[in-house]
Amino acid sequence: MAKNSEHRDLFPGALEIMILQSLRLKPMHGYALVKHIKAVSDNLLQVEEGSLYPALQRMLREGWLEAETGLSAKGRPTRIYKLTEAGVQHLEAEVVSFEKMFAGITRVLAVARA
Amino acid sequence: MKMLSRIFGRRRRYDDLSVSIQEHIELRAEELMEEGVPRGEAERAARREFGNVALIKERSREEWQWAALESILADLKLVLRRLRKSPGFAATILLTLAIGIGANTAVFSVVDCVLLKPLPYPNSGELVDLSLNAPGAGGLANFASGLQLSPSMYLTFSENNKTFQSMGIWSEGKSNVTGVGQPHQVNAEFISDGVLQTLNVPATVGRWFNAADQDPRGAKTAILSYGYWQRRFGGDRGVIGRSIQVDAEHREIVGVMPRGFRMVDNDFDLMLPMAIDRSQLRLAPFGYSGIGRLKPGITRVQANADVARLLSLWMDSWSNGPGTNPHYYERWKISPNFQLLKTQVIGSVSSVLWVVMGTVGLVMLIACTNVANLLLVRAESRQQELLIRSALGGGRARIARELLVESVTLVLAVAAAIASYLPARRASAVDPVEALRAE
Repeated sequence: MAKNSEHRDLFPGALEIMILQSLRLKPMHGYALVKHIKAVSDNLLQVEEGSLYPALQRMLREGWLEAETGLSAKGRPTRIYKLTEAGVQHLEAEVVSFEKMFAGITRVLAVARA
Repeated sequence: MKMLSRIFGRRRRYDDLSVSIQEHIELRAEELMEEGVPRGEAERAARREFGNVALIKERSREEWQWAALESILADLKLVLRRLRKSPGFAATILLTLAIGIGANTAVFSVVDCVLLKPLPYPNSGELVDLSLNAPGAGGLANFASGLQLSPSMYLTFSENNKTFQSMGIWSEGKSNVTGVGQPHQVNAEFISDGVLQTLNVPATVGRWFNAADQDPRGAKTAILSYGYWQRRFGGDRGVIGRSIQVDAEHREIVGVMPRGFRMVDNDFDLMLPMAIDRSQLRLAPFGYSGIGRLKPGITRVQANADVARLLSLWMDSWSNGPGTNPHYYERWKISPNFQLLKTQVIGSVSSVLWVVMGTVGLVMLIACTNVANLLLVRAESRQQELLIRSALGGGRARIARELLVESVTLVLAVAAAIASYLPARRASAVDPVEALRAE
């Protein structure tokens, strides 16, 4: 995962909703989250570890996530992150507001191109 | 609640974080090994890809902290450690600032006492010093304070003026007290009726003089100063009604004035009623200090005009004995020249004091410049360290803040030192009026 200048920084809040959406599908540990987002976005999005872990802590603090202690299949200690009820609500509100924003951006770009 | 659980749940969060990151790196390394990369190399690569573990952990932990507060505490710890390592530097700065601030505080407390609240009497702005101009009196009035009042003048003015609430005169002298331990000499103030009313400071114990005390054929009484009461009578409240012998005359103690009370700028031990005998009064002698309290809203100029018209009444009312011309004093061209008591007491010291205040202010400025220079040199000598820190990712603001924390720490240390030793307090414990008198 070489740091690539082609990958733009995500705007504020984008990383959070992708994490929330991913965890809504199923609870995951940190590394799985990175791989999941990368795979689902066809390598278009790459999550930086330097952003991921602070974001996870921030979301734990807000109460959107909870971390569960466990052991992995290989017997290693692991922490699985899963969505809380508050997280689901936040995600839904955010998705609506993001959709509005994307729609707006798309329209403005379409007019500019015409 | 949220804040508390955040602080106490923190350790668990930090553990979770470490586990997550450890897991992340191990999983990535295993993946690489499955691709055929040897173990050691895979672990190194996974770690390299992950980035700066310590930094990411710190960033993540900061989400749980009062980031600003806790990193300022860290700065503070660093600053204290560094100051301990260079005690000479710390001592120089502390001393420079402490001396500068101390000198300023000392001078300011004198200014405060003398110029800003000089007279310990209620509504002291209404008090005026009663003295007269008499350019025709020759040597008699040829001194700075002008011509002083005579008792007959006082009676005329006091009974006929329209601008004063009250006025009184006094003179000071030495008296001998016997019957209280060894015979000894005391400073006595002979005060007319009206002086205590004018100064308007109630007695701590007992009472003021009343009209009967001022009757030359009435009871003989005395009031003690606080200091004399403490020294000679041990602060005994039962002293009221006791008899002491002053200049071979038995007098009954009727009151004690409060601590710090003085006759304008005189310390005294005993206050005795002047007990003016009207039948014996003449125009002269002039030699009594006078003090008056203006009615509210009356100016000094109005008071001067009011009393000026009473001068001929004074000459009509009294004489200097048979065959003398009472209007002789018209040649003296007497006119009231009342000054606010504050102006009279402070006099020309005011401008001198402000100059001194300005000077120590400048000294403070120089001290500050010196300290700023020292800090600059110190920062200069740390340039390499600071460069390394910024190369390792230290932000400008973060580094600047640490230097600021250092300065603030030094200043607070000075403040603490001054607050605990109170050198200025001691300096200002010298009575300012006393200090001025010594001048």
